[in-house]
Amino acid sequence: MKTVKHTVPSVDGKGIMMGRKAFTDDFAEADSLVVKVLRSPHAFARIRAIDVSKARALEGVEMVITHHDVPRKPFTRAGQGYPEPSPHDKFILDEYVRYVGDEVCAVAAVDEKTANAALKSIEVDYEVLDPVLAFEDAIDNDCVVHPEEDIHEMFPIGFEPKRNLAAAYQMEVADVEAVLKESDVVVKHSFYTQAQAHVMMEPHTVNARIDYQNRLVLYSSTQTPFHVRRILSQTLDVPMQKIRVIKPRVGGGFGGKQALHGEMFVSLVTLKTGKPAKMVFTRKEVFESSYTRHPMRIDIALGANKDGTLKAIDCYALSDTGAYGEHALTVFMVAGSKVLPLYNKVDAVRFHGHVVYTNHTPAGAYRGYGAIQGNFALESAIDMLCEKLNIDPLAFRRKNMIAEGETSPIFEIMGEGTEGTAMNMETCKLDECLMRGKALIGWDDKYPRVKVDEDRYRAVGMAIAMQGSGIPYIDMGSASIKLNDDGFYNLTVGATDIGQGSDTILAQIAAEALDAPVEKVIVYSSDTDLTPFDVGAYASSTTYVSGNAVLRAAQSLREKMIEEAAKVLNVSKTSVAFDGKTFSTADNSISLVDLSNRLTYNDDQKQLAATDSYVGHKSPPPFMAGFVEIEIDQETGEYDILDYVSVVDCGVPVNPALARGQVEGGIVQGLGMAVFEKSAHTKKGRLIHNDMLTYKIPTSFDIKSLRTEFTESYEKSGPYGAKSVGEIGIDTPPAAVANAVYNALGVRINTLPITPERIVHALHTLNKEEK
Amino acid sequence: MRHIIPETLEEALHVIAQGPTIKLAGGTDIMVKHRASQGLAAKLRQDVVYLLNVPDLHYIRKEDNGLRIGGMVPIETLLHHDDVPKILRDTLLDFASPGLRYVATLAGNIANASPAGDALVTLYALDALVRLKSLERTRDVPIEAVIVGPSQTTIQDDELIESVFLPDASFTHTEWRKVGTRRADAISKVAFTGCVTLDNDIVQDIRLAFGAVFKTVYRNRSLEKALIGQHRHDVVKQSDALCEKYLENIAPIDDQRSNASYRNTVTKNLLKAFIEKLS
Repeated sequence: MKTVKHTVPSVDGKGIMMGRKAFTDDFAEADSLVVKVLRSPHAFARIRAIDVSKARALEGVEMVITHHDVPRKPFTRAGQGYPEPSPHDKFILDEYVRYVGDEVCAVAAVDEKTANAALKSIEVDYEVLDPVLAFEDAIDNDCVVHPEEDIHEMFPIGFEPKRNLAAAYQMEVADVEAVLKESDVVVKHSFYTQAQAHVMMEPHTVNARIDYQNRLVLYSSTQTPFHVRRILSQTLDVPMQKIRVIKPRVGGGFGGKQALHGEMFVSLVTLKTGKPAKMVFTRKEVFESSYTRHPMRIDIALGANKDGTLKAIDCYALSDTGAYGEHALTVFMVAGSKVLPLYNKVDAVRFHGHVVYTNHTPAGAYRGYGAIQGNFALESAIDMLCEKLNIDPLAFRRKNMIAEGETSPIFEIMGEGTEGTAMNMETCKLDECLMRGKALIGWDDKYPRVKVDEDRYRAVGMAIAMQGSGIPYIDMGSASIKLNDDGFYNLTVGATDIGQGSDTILAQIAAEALDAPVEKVIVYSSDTDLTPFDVGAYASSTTYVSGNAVLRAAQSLREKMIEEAAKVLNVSKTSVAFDGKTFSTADNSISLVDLSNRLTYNDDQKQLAATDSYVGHKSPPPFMAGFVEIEIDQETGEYDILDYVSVVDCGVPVNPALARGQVEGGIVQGLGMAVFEKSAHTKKGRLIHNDMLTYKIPTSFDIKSLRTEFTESYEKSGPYGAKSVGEIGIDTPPAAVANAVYNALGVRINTLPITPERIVHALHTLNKEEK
Repeated sequence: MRHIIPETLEEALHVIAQGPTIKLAGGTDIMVKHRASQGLAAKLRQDVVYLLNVPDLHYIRKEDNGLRIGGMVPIETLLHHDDVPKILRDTLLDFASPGLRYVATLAGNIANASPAGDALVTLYALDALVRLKSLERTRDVPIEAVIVGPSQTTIQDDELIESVFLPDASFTHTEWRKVGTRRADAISKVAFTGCVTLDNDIVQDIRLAFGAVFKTVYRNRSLEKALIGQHRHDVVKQSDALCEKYLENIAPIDDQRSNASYRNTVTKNLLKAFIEKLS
């Protein structure tokens, strides 16, 4: 391959580095009204009365919006397939506020200062209600987060709001309890994960104007522009053809922008006033009032025979979706469906549980999407089981894990919100990943630990992981490509580049199909007027789903070009060869430049173009093995991450440098969740870690060495052999670090993040027990 | 509210003599404390006297019996100055982040009076004297008499920190330990400075200072004094008892960075490790 599997520079890298206008707020109209939202100081309250008269009277205030001024129509902000698997439990504004940071009302003013002054002048009389803050106490609590009658699910997802249930789910293969009973050894343990924040660099940003055709045009920093258009139209009762959503370059999303945040308010303001409006979240709003990862408690039971055969996995998960049920069921299901098939040879497996409402910041999509939570629990428990069996954890995994050509019944049973799709693993190089990672980290010399001095040990730990490549039969991507005079191409795609490099990847795929240099393929992505449909950037779908659409469109254009060349050369199209620059027969030829100019200006003029789309019929998982080496000081419980080795099977990496960036970005974000990122609330439910001063993400000082390799692998159903690589990197760090800490000091930390405080506390308890 | 940028120390002293002002050095604490919403200027409600660039406060000078450091010398400068004691440079290497170190100052760290101020821990251990100057008077005050609680000092409105004096001391062994959430840009959960001087195995001098476990940096001179004159092996034998005594006196809290129980354990472990190195 000439282009695919080669590192070519990002199509947008240089421009962004040079500060060219690229991001949403760069495109806001200079005279935009500034929209600001008054946010609830209470975790749960009913607005008895709200007095906005002073705000309305302020000079420079154009509009104040309260719940009296908006249509009362339940919707979900989640940008997902339609009908959504998330309950319609949100109103643009409501008389109830359900978490500290929830929307009370909005103002639009000529500038930020005036908008802030207006917010300050608003008097709200709250009836403060008892909140539900402990998610383990949420089910059937006396306090009901959603008492209103007019909310609903789109299809059965286990939605019982009166019981504080956003969703519930249960599946079982064979009789788990019976198999556990027969097993020689059983391990049971609970694990807790925290409400990790996305901390994307660009805050949630959106702006709107009415264009000269009297249409509402939004620029939005979103992962799902087509869903934004649909949800706006459905909720605001504006005909869909009157709305255009443009997604410029997004400065990071990680799932946090797979939803609507400020879009409703700027649209309302612009529709009402006719003036442009914009909204940029403050960092505090990003932390407190957008999305977090779903915190979960996962109770896991594993049963095995003495010979090291895993017999049964039983998994109950309780997930906290916060105040609104966005992505509630689907994230929950992925905690099982993208984790449990790793051990596909068990006799019985069960996955069940509940997703509950609480009065916390809503949880939503976040890279890993449940898999990281499930992986932490399962891969920690596997190490505990190996300890009990006295079997090497690597040997145990090699014996029991999924292999190429195999399947798991879970694929057919569990999809995302619906039933799944049966599939065999056409590519699964998990064993190579594991063995290569073992060699790279130097496992045999370091496992379980090496003493450095009186107080310090070095230790290794590992975990394996899988993810998916889009959602079969739901995620659809499409692409259009046209030939221009002078022989270059425009590729327009609905796919959404949010920093992961999809514009570059998709240009590479088209270039490969057309034998063209990448710079001859000009990419334009995600504009609901100009590009064909795509569900958006989520579920590790862009390379696999959108990439397949691009491949089809490019191949189809290539056929059309050859057809035209054959006409010119007066031969049948089967006798024309095309090398990207020249169409040739045995004795004649025409260059691409000549052909394109001829078709544009001279003879038989026409526009050559092709559009195609793709919807997956399966979701081939990428796999990886992650190995960590830590150095830990038992005096303080502090540890350094000395090295992280990732060996990944993502099929063919279309752009090795970008693929590596995806894996390593995921590893660092996963290490953040495993080691640093705390998410705690005050007794009244206010988020404490709500700025970058207190919320600690890893810095370059904390990440000393990342080593990433890709195994040779070719997924036939993927574009040029590719599977996904966007999420898989994030999954292994929590379990790998927990296992390394155990190998170092003999303490099992079951709650994220794995802080020195928890380690020292566990050591203390361990010492007491030993005494 | 006025912004005043004096060009000399004399001028600065005249300005601050007129009434209460905010004395701004690098501003790395003040600007955070008074931050407004995104994109807006910090809300400072008093006249601000900007001192960072007053040349008279930028010097490092060897004097009889010690080193005098001008109040406005940036931390980064101290980090690379050979006359600055090694234990202080070890400490300052963990101070905030490189960007902040270029504008942050010792005077600012003292005036901010945080129990978790990293530089303070070592200044306590070094018996630093703070020179407070006003138009009327100059007084040299031990650092523990300047800082009396979180954000509380005995510095008068008409005074500024002209310099910090570090009396000469030579130690056989020093140790700085910072325990934070991550390796940079993190406020300490616990910090520790230990300095000891041995002569023929006999303790001549020992200083133990702890950060973030008390309302100020914690140092107990009477416990230290009791160790002086003892053989190092005898001191090692008492390490558990000594740890207990410190634990009785410190008063760590639960906060967003850590919790009291962890701080107690780590204080004990760090002290114990330091003492046991004498064996």
